[in-house]
Amino acid sequence: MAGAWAPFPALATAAMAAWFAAILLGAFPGAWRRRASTVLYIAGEAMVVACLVRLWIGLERPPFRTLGETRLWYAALLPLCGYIVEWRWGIRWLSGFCSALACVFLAVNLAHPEAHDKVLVPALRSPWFVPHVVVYLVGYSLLGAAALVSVRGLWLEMRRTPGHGGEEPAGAEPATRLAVLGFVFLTAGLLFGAVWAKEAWGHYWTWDPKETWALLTWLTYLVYIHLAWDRRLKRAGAFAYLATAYLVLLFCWFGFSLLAAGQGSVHSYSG
Amino acid sequence: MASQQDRPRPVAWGYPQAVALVAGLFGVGLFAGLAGSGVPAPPRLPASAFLLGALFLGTGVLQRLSSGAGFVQWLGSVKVSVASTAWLAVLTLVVGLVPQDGRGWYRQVVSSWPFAFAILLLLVNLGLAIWRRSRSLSMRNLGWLAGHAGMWLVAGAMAAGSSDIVRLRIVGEKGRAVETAFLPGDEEMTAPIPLPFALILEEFVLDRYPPRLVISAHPSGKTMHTETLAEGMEGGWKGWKWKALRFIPSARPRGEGFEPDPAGKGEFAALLGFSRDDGAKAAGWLAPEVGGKPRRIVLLEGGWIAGSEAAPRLYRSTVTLAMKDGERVRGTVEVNRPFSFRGWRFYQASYDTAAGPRSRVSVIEAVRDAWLPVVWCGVGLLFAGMAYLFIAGLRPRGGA
Repeated sequence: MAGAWAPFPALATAAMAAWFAAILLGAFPGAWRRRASTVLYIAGEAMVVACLVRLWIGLERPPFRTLGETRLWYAALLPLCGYIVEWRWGIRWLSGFCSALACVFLAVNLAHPEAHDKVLVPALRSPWFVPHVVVYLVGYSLLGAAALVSVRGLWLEMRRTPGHGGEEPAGAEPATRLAVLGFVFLTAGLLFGAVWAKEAWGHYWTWDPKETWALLTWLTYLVYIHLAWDRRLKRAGAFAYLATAYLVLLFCWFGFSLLAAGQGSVHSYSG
Repeated sequence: MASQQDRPRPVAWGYPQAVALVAGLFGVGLFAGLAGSGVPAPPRLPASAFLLGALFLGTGVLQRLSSGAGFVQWLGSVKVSVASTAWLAVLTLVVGLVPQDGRGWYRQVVSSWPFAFAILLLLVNLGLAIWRRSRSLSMRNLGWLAGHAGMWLVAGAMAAGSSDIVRLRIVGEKGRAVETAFLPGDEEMTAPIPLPFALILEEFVLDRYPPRLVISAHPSGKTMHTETLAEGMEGGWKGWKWKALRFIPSARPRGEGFEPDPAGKGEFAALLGFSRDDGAKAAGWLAPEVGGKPRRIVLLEGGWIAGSEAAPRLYRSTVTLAMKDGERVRGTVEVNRPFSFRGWRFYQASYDTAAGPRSRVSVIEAVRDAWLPVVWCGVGLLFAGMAYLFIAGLRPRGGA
């Protein structure tokens, strides 16, 4: 079913070009540059969404089955989270960072094309399939944005040497807000998955390798939220924690199947 | 204004003591494991419900009697929450890193004493915090209570109710009344368990997608290209071109090749010729397992494998349940669509894979889970707590 994927290389390349131009324009002052930057961000987003729509229609199934399909969703959702957070909390640079990270995911898909077909095995033919994966990907996007805020904060923190000035990094509040929102979606994804598993197999939890790593990711952010509530983490500590937690999330997404303990998971992506 | 006596006494201990508590419990758990005593299974209903209820009420009494005394307040504090959650995270990491298939606590973490203690500490900590917070039912506290009570119910019901879940595998045979089942691990079917009903398999349907040519990378096995197999089909990928010289929808092995199966009970087989512009060629039969013979593939130069498959689209069993009291009920069981009757839920588990779509056997899993309403109640409360957190956000301690 190569036809459904056929527009991807051109649209993804155009989206990346639009986002890079938007980042460059946004880096300089001026009202018209800012407006043009916004238009380019939206154009890039529209192109990635068009890829998803084409794929969904062409494959006649929700495009969540392969790792490349989830990367494409992430490339659409991550900048969207960036724009919404930028608009809501005024973090001016976030959409640029989120778009740049989305470009990495698009580039991986361009470098490693996959086979896409209409096959959807019986286990995935469930009304829980779409909500389970969508809330997870929204959660991953919010937590990715939290990690970007944290990495930038850490970088500014390191550059700021006593007596030599440097840009004052913002507090960890924006990163914590994003982490809390991401955690809410992560929890919903975990619960949807448990309900689905009960409907499909009669177990809500089987310690499948992916489930185990998803639980570890959830517990990692749960600890952060409690530490943040108790005001135990200083700025640099909070940034370092969230950046590290995102590595756990990425391993849960892409890396767990490389482990001996990760073999035989029912969550292995096909394709 | 609260009097001096009414004020909760300041928390005596902090994070270092919480870590020490967790480390101590972990050590005790390891010692209990080394001493040779395994974690006993919890009792069955009604004792399991009584125990869980007693734990919750016990934490309430402790909270009430202590009047916020230092140790009890600390035991129900966020400090112990962080330590116990981090402990659970470490144990989960061990499960994620080490295959859970052998001896030693780290190879069977979820049935080890350290894990049991971690769950117990989590329940005690959550229970104390829930009782403390429930003294004031403001909207903020209700949101908090929903999430934490949901967590307590899910963890508590899954732990206490583990002995109450009945899970049986019924090997249904077409047209035959089956009155015994087996435990899921009893693959040799050595210990039949009588059922309170008879299950008759009326029909088993395995619907499949059309057969496909699958080109995958060698040795990773990653699928690179797929195409529907049909008589005369032609295609190409990465410089290779191919043509189906023959396609038999129902084939049986004959010598090195295949021939049509007159009974129409065989799997598909396709003879394909492959060629590349530089002169490289290959040809051969592509077929799934047929008549006990292995899957047939063709190796292509450049590290590719040409294989074939017919992916499943639907498994469906139509069954009749005949109860001892004479009642009979007919239903269908599919993956993702279990059939419920008199407290039992029936799940499509397996079938005779060697026979494929002509299987006369369907394995149905019958599950009875008395704690399911409690777990669903916990899940609902957790959702409510998350909805509150989404709307109100996190308000750190001491904030407005």
